[in-house]
Amino acid sequence: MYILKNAVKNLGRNKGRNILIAVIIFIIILTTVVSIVINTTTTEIINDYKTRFGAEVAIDLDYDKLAQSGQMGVDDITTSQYIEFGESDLLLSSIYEAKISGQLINMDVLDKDLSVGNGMSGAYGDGGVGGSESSMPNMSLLASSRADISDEFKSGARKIPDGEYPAGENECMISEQLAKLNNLSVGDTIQLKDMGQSPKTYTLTISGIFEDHTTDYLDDQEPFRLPWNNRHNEVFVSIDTITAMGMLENDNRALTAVYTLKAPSDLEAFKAELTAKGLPSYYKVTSDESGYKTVVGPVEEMSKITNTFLIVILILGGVILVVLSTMAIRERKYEIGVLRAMGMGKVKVAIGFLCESLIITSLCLILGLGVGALVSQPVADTLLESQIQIAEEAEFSGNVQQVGGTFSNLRERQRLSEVEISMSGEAILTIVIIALALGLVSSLSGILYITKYEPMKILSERN
Amino acid sequence: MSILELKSVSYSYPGTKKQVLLDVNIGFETGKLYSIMGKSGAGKSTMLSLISGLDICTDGTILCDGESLSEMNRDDYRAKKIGVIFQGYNLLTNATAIENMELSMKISGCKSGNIKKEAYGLLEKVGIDKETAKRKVLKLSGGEQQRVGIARAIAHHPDIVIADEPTGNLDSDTQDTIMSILTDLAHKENKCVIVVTHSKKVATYADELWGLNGGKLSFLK
Repeated sequence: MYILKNAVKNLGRNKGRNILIAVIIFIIILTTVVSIVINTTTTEIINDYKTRFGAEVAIDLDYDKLAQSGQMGVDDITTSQYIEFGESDLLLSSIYEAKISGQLINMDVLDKDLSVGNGMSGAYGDGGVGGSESSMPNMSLLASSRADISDEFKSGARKIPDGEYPAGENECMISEQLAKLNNLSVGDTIQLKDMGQSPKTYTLTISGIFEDHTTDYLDDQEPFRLPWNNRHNEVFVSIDTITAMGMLENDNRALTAVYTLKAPSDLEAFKAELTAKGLPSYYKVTSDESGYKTVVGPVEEMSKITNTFLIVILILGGVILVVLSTMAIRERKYEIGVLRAMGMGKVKVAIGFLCESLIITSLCLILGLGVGALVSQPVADTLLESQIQIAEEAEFSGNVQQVGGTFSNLRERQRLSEVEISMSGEAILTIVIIALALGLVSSLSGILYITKYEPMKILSERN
Repeated sequence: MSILELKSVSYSYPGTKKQVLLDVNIGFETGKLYSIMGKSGAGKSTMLSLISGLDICTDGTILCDGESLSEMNRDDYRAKKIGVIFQGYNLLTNATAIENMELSMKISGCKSGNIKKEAYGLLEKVGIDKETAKRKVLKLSGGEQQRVGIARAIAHHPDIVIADEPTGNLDSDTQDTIMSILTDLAHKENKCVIVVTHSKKVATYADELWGLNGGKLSFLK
């Protein structure tokens, strides 16, 4: 206990030197706090981004490989293959969207009359009610595994006030306009047939009716404005329903699959998995690296800068501390000699020096954590702002290499423009460990000196 | 019976062949003041550093209460068995006189309930009042520093007190005061006091006078 008390008293006895050491340790700890807090926060943000959004994968034809191989025809990826590819543990999500044409049977469709003027009256008839067998599609059958169904439902252009999106097999959702036209409500059934060479008829139960405020189809002018492209005639079913119907088998391109990896680093493993599942070699699998870079790139750069800054500060600070403490020990040589001559053992003298160092470090740590918590946010904001500016300038000048293939627009790739800095327990622990290491470094030369010299030698040099 | 005994003690500095001390044999008893005289470079301070456990003899044995110093923890020996009064005082200059005393007592493992009170008492005994005791050592005169050095050397109640030129830097009156304190320690408190000096005046206080010449110790009086 007296060693600690003497260490505390010694701090006051050598104010000038200790203040100088404290200032240096404080600066090191402050920069460490700022760097680590920013770094842990950005790491959390990046990890959070990866967890929530992952990295989108695109599967496209590799035209270079095709040209090199001299292969003329290519095999499309089949619907069942797409579904099989999506069954992977490496994926965060697999989203499927499908759109195929069909014909509603025994029902009126919107814009049916327009076909009169363009000479396709028979083709767009009411599917056989009192007329001839029609041969042209009069509706689109849509399926989506997206939680928000589609961008229109997300934006509010389409709403479901009555019923719900079809979840089970053989359920469907139709527009309010189509329901009114045919006097249909939730629970009623409709019939439709596919447009294959041997058309099949399917019966679906209406699970929901949606409000449709979309107007884009009105832009189409005759003769292109047809019942088939009138969006009020769209019928939604679940992916399970559309695959069970077998309607996708006629058109391999009717299904769009969007795979999202849990982490961009899983791309190679996913590629290998797809190859094993039969993906032809002339397809390339790429991840949405540019999208990822767009969103978290500046934050990652900021993290790199703070990391580099931290390393430089720790090395420089460590060297300065060693030099300072060595100089301080030269001053304190006599004190060591006296204490040793009085019978204080080497270990006890060393503990005393270490205590002094740790007391200074602890005070600086408390102050550094407080000030660091205050300045981290503005520092992070400034850094991020400059990184965003650099990224934007690079994009504007075309210096950003676009990697990958065709990606969906399912995700909003909005650049992270704000980072909310918070001091996590992990960050505090790291800072405390670094502070303790600094305390050890600053007392290290003293401890080495104490173990090296005998008191008689020190005192005789002094005397 | 000797409390401290040097048996055939020789010493040469590491890396040299020159013998600073050569076959020294002497026994020290409690209740006596010993004076060891010699010219500069005769080996007086070396002998003192060996006795005080600050250095180790190259040959021979030093026994304290019959136990060899080489087999003892020399830190403990310095902290508990002996008190050393250095020529250059060797006090903690940034600390006050009382702090020097307290620290020394704590290092020696003093179990006193009130170390501070005891320390003030010891300082008062050597002529340092409370006010002076609270001043930093650097602000004290040479005589005052030497008194603090003496008080510190006896603070842990050692049986052996060693003094290296204790009056070297002091005026005549202060020399007398310091020597009377040391004499009292030997005669009234039954300590073994060993004074290394080249002062003939100091030597007159000794119960036994020994001379050191060319590394050899001889009895003078």
